[in-house]
Amino acid sequence: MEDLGEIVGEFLMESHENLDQIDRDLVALEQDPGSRDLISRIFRAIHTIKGTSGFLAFSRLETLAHAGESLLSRLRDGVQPVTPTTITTLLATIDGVRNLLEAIEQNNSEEGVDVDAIIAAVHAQMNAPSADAPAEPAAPAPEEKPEPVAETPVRPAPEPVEEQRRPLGEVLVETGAAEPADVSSALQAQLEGDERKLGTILLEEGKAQPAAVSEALQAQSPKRSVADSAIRVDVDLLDGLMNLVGELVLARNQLVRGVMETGDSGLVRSAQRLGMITSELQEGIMKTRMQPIEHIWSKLPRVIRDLSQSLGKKVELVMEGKETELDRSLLEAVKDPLTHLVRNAVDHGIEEESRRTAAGKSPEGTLTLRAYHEGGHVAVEVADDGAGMDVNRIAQKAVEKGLLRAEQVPNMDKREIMAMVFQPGFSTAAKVTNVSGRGVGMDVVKTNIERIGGAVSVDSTLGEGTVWRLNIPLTLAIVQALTVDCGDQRYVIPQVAVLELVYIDGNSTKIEYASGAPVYRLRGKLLPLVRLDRALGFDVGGDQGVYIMVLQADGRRFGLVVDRVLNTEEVVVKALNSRLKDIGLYSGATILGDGKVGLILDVSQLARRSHLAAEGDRENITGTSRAGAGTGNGERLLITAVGERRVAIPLDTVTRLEEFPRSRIEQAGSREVVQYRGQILPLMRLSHVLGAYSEVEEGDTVSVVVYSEGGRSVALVVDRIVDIAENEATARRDVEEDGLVGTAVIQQRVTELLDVRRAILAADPNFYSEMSGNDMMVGA
Amino acid sequence: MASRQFATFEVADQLFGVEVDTVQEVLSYNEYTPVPLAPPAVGGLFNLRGQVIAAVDLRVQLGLARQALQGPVMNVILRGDGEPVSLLVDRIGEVVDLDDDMFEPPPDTLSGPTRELVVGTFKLDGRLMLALDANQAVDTFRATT
Repeated sequence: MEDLGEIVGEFLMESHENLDQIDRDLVALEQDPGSRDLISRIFRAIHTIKGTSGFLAFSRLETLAHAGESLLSRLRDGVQPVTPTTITTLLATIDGVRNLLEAIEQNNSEEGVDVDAIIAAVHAQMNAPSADAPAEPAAPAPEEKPEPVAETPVRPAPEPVEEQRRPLGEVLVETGAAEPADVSSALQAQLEGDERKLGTILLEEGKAQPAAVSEALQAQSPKRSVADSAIRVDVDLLDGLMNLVGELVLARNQLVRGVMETGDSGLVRSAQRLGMITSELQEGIMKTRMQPIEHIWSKLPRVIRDLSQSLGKKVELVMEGKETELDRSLLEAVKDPLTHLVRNAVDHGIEEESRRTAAGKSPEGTLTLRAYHEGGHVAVEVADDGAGMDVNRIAQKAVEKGLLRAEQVPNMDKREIMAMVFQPGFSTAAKVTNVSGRGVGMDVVKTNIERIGGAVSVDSTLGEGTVWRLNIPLTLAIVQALTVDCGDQRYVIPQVAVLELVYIDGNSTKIEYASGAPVYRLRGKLLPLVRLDRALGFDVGGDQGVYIMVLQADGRRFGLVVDRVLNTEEVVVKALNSRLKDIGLYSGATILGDGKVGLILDVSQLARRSHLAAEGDRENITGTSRAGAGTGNGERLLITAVGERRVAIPLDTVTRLEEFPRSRIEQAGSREVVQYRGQILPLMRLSHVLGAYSEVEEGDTVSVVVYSEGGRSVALVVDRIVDIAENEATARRDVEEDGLVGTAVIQQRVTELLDVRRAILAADPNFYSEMSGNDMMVGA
Repeated sequence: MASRQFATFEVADQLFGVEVDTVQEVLSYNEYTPVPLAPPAVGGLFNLRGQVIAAVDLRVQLGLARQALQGPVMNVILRGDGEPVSLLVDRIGEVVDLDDDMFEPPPDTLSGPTRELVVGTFKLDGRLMLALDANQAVDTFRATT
């Protein structure tokens, strides 16, 4: 029974794949009714399902597939033309097959799924010389009776399935392995009822050599080798391998550290080699989890066809970049939001034919799905050439719904206003249809995409169309995260939720209380605060010398108070025991650099559990949309020259650019400092940090980039400021060197992207921990 | 005579055992990551070859005070239901072959949290071994409800 279960499982999996293909082919066939290739392919796929279901004794499935097959054979033979009605009937048949397969998957039986109506419809279709079919009365199809259920499917002759292959006889004759006369007599025998296969007849009558026949059989089906080169692998097995590779990386890091200390150059080389192999192995394993986005797109032609037909619209679907790969768990998560966007585009985006013609557009609307890599993300776009959205109407609606105040609108740019459509309860649809327009959906799309660490944005031009854009991380298994300390424990926060960090020194920045509720004035606005120590049930610490992480989740902005922010790193997300997940504070766990387990905090749950008042949302909507829009743009970078290298610093981390006379540089302990606006500003020479040779040591002034964080500033010394550039979709490559996050090609030059935080830590590991004490030290 | 193999271990000087085929491995581990707000019986998390394992403090499950997680603590890692779970114990004993005639149901005088975890008593030479229900023993929500 076990074995049979496996066979059924395989059958289900294969059939689902086949059905998706059939769906696509049927929709394509409707566009191109004359295509014999498409009909044959659909026929073969249905035939396979029918054959296997007969073998596994799923009789309803077999009967249904047989009915579909009969209709298809009439289409193939040209007895009946391909019309939208036949396509609809065939699609209904496919849905029936799908329902049966689902029932089999769940209950292991076909009970409870009624397919008689579909079968009757198929037969009606075959028998009725329907209005849209100029059927020839000469072909009344005598073998098909309108008594569907009673009919037992006839086991098909092998011929139709193999029609795509070259007939065996032909191959044999061509290679000279058999005489044409022998082949035709064998064929004659088959027609007269000999059930043996052609090759068998020839062999048994000694008309051909066994080797030649098997060779001919192989030549007949060249496809097999492709199937043999791929195997199905259990995802659990891959996850297990991922785990082990992650562990290998940790072990490697420990080993490399140890080896470096010994200073043995031979060992160091081996360790480096091990490091490279490990990285490649990790990459390879990651790749096995990747699947082309085509997997989820394949269902969309059918969705669009059904929907556009029911709405009486004409929509052409264009797919670009369907080979773009994504982690399979992400594909699953993206499927529903994407389907929703597509339905929405057909329903609301693309106009009725008459309106399109009136607007001077082609009557057929175009829906474009586009996927491509951009930086470390995959961008998926759903673009239509429909009516577009009216920014003013969105703004007006947002004000009506109380999502915006009227005086806010003039200060908002188009993108920010457009982003309002992702707010809960927002819908501009004039009428409610059963497809969309009930005000649910877009906010769900946003929530679902953000849950997997992605972002969603929209751009629209009135009269020209709308582009919905999803930015999706490449993999769920690895996320960029910040590690923080709270109490004596270390926690991990996904970086996607972090907007900024504020250091609270108790003087210039401080936590205030509004009737007991902690708040912080962030650029004049009150930010509700959540103390991580309180949220985790620890003893509550002081309000000084702590950090506020400004976080965003579920459209809320709040500050999380932690003791210390350590660094950013890429962490591999591990599943957490389901019981512990139920606590609702942790989204997962990870193995930290020291091999210990670190808990990954679930930011949205944290916000919810901390009873953040819902009114908080409204105030923050402007900020929300700005953050959303920001992800759509490239990041702005300050390009500097350090020695012969070009180093880019994210502009939003830069406070000021200054020039200081060299004479103003003073020494404080081992550090170089300058007095600046009544403060002591430590200097940090990037050329030292990066190990670059600085060429212009002799000038009278130094160029510095002032970087501030948490009320403390540091001046990064560079040779000169080159430019400000926007980092669009450029090739990024990670390099593992302290202080640098990676390299990118900016303005056709290889440029290193600086991780300022890490660079500062590399120069002064105590920079962050000493923040409060440092001023006193310098002053003394 | 039917016999079964038990992996034995001690908690608070009492000998316990679980059937050997429920045990994945036994190891000693140093560092545990506490899980704030988790049920008290969750001792912490640790890293087993890249897999994150929850360690259940058997002392808490038996109604005793928490084990101090300083220095190495012995773990009996049970296969669980697709999710390995570890039991924190004081000391690891031997694997013993036990005939069914040495078995008796738990004594009526045994009460409290221990009673719910124990399926029976085996009379060994000189001492008693309590056979644990592996599923009950790692059910951290049991003790709190």
